[in-house]
Amino acid sequence: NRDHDAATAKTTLAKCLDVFGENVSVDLIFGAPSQSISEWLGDLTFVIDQGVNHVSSYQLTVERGTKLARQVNSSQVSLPDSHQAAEMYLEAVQLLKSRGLERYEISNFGRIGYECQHNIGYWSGGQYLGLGPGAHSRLGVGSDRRSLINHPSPEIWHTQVTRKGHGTAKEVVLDLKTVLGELIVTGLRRSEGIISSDWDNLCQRKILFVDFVKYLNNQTRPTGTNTAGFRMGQGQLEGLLWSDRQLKISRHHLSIADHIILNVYSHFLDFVSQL
Amino acid sequence: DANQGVQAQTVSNFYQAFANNLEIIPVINKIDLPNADPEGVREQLFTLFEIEPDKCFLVSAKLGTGVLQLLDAVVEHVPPPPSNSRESPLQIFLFDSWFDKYKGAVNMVQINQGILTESCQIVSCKTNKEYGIKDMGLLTPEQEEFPALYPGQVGYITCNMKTAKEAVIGDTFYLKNNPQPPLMEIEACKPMLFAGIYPLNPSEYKDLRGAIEKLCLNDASVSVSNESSPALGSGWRLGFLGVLHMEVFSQRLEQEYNAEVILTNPSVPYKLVIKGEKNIKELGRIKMVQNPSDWPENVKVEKFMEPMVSATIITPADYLSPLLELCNERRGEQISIVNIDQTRLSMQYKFPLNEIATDFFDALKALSSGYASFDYEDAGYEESNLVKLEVKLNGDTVEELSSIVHASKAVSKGKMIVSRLVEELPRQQFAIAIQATIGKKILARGDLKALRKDVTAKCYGGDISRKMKLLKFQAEGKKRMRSIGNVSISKDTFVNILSNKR
Repeated sequence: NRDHDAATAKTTLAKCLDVFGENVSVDLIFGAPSQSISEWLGDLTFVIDQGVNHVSSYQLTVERGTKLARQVNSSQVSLPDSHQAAEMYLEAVQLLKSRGLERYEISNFGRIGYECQHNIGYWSGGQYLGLGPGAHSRLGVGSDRRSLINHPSPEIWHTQVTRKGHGTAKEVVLDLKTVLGELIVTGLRRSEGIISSDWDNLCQRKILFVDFVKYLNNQTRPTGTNTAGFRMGQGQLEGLLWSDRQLKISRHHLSIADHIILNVYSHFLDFVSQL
Repeated sequence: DANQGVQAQTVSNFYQAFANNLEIIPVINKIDLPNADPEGVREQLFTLFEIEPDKCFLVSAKLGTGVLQLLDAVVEHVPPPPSNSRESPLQIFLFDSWFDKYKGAVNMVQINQGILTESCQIVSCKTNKEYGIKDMGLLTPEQEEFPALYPGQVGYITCNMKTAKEAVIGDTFYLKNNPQPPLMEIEACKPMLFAGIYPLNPSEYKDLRGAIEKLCLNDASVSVSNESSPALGSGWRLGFLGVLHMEVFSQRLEQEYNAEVILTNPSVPYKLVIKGEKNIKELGRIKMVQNPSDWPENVKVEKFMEPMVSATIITPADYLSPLLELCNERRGEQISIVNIDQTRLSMQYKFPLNEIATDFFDALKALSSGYASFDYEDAGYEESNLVKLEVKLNGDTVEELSSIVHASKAVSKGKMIVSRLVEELPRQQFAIAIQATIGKKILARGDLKALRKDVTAKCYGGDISRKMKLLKFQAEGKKRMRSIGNVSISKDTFVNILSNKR
């Protein structure tokens, strides 16, 4: 249901590179109907050849109520199966790496120095202000951390902004579990994971990173350390690595981050309940 | 029943009455129904029990036809109760009881000797508890109060018994300070099969306990003992007199108490004969085992025995073939087969109890379009080839999924459990090897591949709130998981595999 086609995308990309030069990023979706792996890699290659320094890439999500959802449900279009989707993702990571674009977040690849600073803000407990209809904000830290959501309807948002000077529909003060939970959910998607200072600053040192790490140490057998000096998780925490300064998911396990993040969050809840 | 004719229950009731030398009056009821065939039933009664056709009473209880004549016959043919002396010390026999919400246990008694009045203080032989009489009288058939009951009379009494367990059927009561010997040795009724019962939500444990207690107030024949399963939490092992008993009980729980329960397959009590002096000292010479976790190592056992039943199946000839197959499948041994009339046969079979304790009755009915009937009786224990089937995940045993089976059924059951697990277990970072084993021998095996990729979407701004919501929900679900080694199993998986298919 896009309002552009491949040709338009290409010419637009060319224009952007012209105007913005090195600071251009392209979003590419894989797992589209009838998309083959070779087609996918071909598209990636084309984009890299144009000289972009940053690529964001995720799997197509079929949203309820859309035309695509109806087409999928009635088998009018066929999507690649999970095996093929996994292939597409892993091949993409390989290809981009070989061309100098490092994966620094599950879905984000860039040459060194070209990582997206805006997005890193989301993933390191930073504050962000959402301005348009439906936009989300996170303001404050620790016990003052608030979530704000703007009216999703453009008309209502517009009216309210005119009258009150802001478009906020809902404002909630978040509890510490949620505040740190959000850091876990986003931070573990980064290749470098969560840094202890981000954690401690975000919660105003009310729940120390090192204490959580100590708790994790007790969940694994004593001998689990890798060559880089990180403790290695086992069983449910297999794929998780940590030290006193950092908590991350290993490169090889990033593609099943959702599974590991859930396990880490469960452990975090147990840890908090013991405090 | 003029419509259905002789059923398996008819046969077993007849033989029991006969064995106890009771006077039998044959009655053919429901002659008002359009399909009634009293002549045909008379023929069956003669063939099976040598009852003279002209001795049968044709009756319609619904319309009242023939009832007067029947009552006269009862008065004439049924011998009177023994009449002992009124002066003898009071002895009362309790033969039935039901539970009234307000009055407590209402007991049906027969006075054996002596006179019962409202001022009597009576004591139970069995429980030694003392009671005062609150109400007493005769059933006419309504409860009608009478101030005194005499030897031979049958009436009701209420005496503030708060629970049904206090009214032991077969008990004898005497006057306080004048103890009398019991009129009958009472054997607690033996449960024929067991089922595990657990609350679907562990938070409803207390409610379920209350519901079970209330139902048992009314039914003292259900045996109850505590049990717990790491998978399903705390629950009970209930013993029932039969499959129907169990089904009625659980339906009442659902309908009358809104209880949501998990019923695990009934298990029968096995008898193990222990060998070796040291083992016998430790376990006793005979060990009864109901729970797979109590199963001792094979080396300690000289003989495995399972409970058997002798069964009567009556069926129209049309369905004989599928029923024979069913009986065969359930390790039945045919004892006899007889034509009872032009169209129907009666078969006597011997079955292991655990083969008929679950869905045999349903299968029988299904294969015979409902026309076959079935009844069974305890037939002691016989030696059998029993094994403990275990389930392992990556080498770790899942205790909750262990079961005791006959060696001939082990492979098929093992395969079934393995394939269910492959379907139901969530994938994890590593592959999971699922095995069904007996001791060291692997009977069935399945493999669950490791997760390859599960992240699909981007994660900025507004996505984060959504993700947190989902995560919180999933974390709740994880709390209901159990870990076997490194593998997580959700409670739903256990429920799906363990529970009765109904």
